[in-house]
Amino acid sequence: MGEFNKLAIILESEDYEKAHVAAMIASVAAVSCIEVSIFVTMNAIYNFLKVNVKENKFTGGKIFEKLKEKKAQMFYDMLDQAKMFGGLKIYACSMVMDLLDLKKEDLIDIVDDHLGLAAFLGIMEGAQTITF
Amino acid sequence: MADLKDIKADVVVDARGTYCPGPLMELIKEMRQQPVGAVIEVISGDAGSAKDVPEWLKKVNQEFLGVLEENNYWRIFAKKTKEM
Repeated sequence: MGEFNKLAIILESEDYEKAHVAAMIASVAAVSCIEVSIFVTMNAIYNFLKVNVKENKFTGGKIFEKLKEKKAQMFYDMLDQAKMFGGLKIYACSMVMDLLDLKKEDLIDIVDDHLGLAAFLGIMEGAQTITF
Repeated sequence: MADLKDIKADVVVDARGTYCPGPLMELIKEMRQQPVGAVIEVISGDAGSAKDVPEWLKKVNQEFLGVLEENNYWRIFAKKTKEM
């Protein structure tokens, strides 16, 4: 294995826990000189909608309940902080945006842009990839 | 290594109440603001961070001075050796 300097995360699930672990990995990688790109697609897009974030409307299980109870930092705050400290980009899937008639303004501000798969495959080139 | 108990940190960050990777992120936030040479102590209530922070320091070439385990918390000492 070559040097680990590029990480691509495909976030597909709506489960809060998956968004949370993706944000944890992305944060630590971004501050460890690893260039991180997150592709938000399918049901995961709902966790990045301003309306759901504002109302704290997420779907999760037992760990999500614990995270809330203990007032742990939410995944989007973790990502926001990581963006300040390191190289982290968040892209929404264009297909899902079209399907749901979403505009960039409907998504929380930490989302940088929306991309199609050809563009994200370009980003994935030479990167370690994890899917949640 | 000098006795950690004798080290006087320039700044102490109390990260108890945050969960992994919270203490690490708190250290980074502080380290970015401190001048080169500054010694930073992070107080963590999270056992993982006592292992995680040294790993990160090694990865980014900053200095790990050591960790002291207290009752239910950890005092992690780091020194900023270069700009970041």
